[in-house]
Amino acid sequence: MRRRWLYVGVAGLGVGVAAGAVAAWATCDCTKLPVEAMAARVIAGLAFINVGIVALRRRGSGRVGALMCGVGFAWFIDDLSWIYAPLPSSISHFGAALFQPMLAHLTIAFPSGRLRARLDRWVVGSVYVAWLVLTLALLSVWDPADAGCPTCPRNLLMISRAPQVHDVLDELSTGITLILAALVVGVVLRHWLIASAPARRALAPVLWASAPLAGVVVEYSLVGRSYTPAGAPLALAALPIGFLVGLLRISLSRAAVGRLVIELGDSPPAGWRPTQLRDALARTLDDPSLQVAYWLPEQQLFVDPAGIPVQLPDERDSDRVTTLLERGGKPIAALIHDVAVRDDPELVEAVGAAARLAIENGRLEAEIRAQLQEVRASRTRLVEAAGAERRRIERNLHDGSQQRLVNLALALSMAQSRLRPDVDAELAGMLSEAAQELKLALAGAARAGQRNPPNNSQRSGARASPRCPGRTFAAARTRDGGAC
Amino acid sequence: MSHRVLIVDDHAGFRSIARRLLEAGGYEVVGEAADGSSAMRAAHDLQPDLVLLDIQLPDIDGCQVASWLMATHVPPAVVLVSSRDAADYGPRLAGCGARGFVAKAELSGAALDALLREP
Repeated sequence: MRRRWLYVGVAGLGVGVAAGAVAAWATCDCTKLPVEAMAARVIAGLAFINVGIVALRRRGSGRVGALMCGVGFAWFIDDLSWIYAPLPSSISHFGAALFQPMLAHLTIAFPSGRLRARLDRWVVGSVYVAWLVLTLALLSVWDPADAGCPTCPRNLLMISRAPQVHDVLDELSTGITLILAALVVGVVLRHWLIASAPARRALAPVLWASAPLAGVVVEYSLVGRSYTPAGAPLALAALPIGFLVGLLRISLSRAAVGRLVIELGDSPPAGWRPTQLRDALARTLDDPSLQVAYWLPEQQLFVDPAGIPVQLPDERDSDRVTTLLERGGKPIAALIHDVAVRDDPELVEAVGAAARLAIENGRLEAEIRAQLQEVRASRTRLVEAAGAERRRIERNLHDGSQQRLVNLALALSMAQSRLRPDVDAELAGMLSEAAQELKLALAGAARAGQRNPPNNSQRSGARASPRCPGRTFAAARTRDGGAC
Repeated sequence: MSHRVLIVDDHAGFRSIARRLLEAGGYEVVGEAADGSSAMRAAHDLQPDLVLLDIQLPDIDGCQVASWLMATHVPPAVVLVSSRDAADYGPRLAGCGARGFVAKAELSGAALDALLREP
C-alpha cells in the first residue's frame, strides 16, 4: 500500500514538474522554443518518468526504474532556464546535461540495474566525473553576455569571465563527450555479445532505440542545441520505450510457465529421466546452461541428479548464480543459472512453484543415487583397507616367519652338506625329512603371500623349482622349464 | 678362479648364513649391504664380479639396483634372490639385466655355479 502511494507520488511529481516547465516556458519573456519542440521535450521527460514507474512496480527492476525516473527528472532541469532569475538559471546551466551520465548509467546497467563488471563501473564513473568537472570548468569562466545575451540572468557559478578559455574548454568538452559516448556504446555492445539468450532478448529493443538517441547526442555535441531540429527530443523518448519493450520481453517468458505446468501435470510422467526435468526447466527459463542441484539435509550438501556432490558457484566473480527453491522455509533444491535469469525473479519463483512436485521427486531420486554412490565409495574403501591389511600381514610374514624359515632351510642345507651319510645314516635321514618339512612350510608361507603378489603383472618368467633351484632369465625366455 | 661376491639383503640373518654357504661353496664374499643405496656404493668401492641381490629392499627396488649395476663401466653378474617365487614378480625381472634368479631357500654354491655356467 505504501509503495502504491510512492508510485502515485512519483507520477504526480513528474506531472507537476512537466506542468511547471510548460508554465515557465509559456510565461517567459524571452526567446522561446517552438511549441512542437517544447511538446517533444515534455513527452520525452514524461516518457522516462512513466516507464520508470512501470519498472519500479515490477519486482527485480527497482534500480532500473529509479534510474529511469532520475533521467526523466534530470531532463527537466534545463527548463529552469525559462525562469529569468540568476539562481534557477544557474541551476539550469549546471544540471542541463546531468541526464546524459544518468542515461549512460541506465543503459549500461540495464536490465538488472547493477554495474556488475569493473569496466562497467569504470565507464559510468568516468561519465559522471567528466560531466561534473567539465560543467564546473565551463561555468566558472562563462558569462551569458558572451553568448550574445546581455539581458540574460547572470551566471552565479562564474568565477572569472574568460571567453577564450571557455571556447577552448567547450571544444575539449565536445571531444570528451564524443569519446565517452563511443565508450558507452562499446560497453553496451559488449554486453550484447556476451549475453545469454534471455539477456539478449531484453537488450535488443534498448540497442535499437539507442540509435536515434546516439544521433541526437552527437548532434548536440557537434552543432549545439540551438540548431537541433525541434523534434529531436522525441529521439530520447524512443529509449524508454525500448527499455519498456525489453522489460515486457522478460515478462513474456512467464507464459512459458503455463506450458511447464501442462508438461509436468500433477506429477511427472512415468519413466521420466532426471535430466528431463532439468531440460524442461531450462526450456522454460530459456537458459540451456541451467543445472538443478538437490539438497540432501542429512549430508548437508547439494547433489546433481546422478547423486554427485555439486559446488554452488561463487556469485562474486561468476556469471552463474543460484536460486534456492524452498519448502516450509527449508531448501529442497537450487537452480544454478545464468545471471540474466535473475532479472525476472518472479519467473524463477513461478517455475519453482510449478515444478515443485517434480523437483521433490527428483530430490528423492538424487538422494537414493547419492546413497548408492556412498555405498560404492564405502565398498571401495573397504576393499582398499582389506588390501592394505593383507599387504601388511604379508610383509610381516615375509620379514618374520618366512625369513626365519629360509634361514633355517639354509642352515639345514649346510648341515646336510657337511654330514657324510655313511657316518650316520639315521641322522642324515632325519635331516632330509626335516628339510622336506621345511620346504612344505616355506611353500605354505609363500602361498599365503601369493594372494598379494608384489606387482600385478601376469605371472611368467623365471620360476625356481625344487628340482631346478636357479634359472637364468635367458633360459626362461628360450626354454620351457626343465634344465638347470 | 673364485668369484668375488657382494651380498645385498635387508635381513642380517640371511646375509650371515648366505656368506657361510657361499664361502663353503668356494666363493669369496667381499662385502654385504642392507639396502639398495649402500649396495650401489659397495659395488662401486669393492668391484665384485657377482652380486647376490634381494629383490625386496627397503629403499630401492632390487630390479632397479640391478639395472644400475648393469649400466656401470664393468658390470658384475647379478643374481636376484627372494623368499618368493620368481613368477610372483612377473616378466619385469627378465628386463632388469640380472643373470638369473635363485629362491632364497634354495641358495647354495652349487645353485650359483649352475646359473653362472649357463649361457
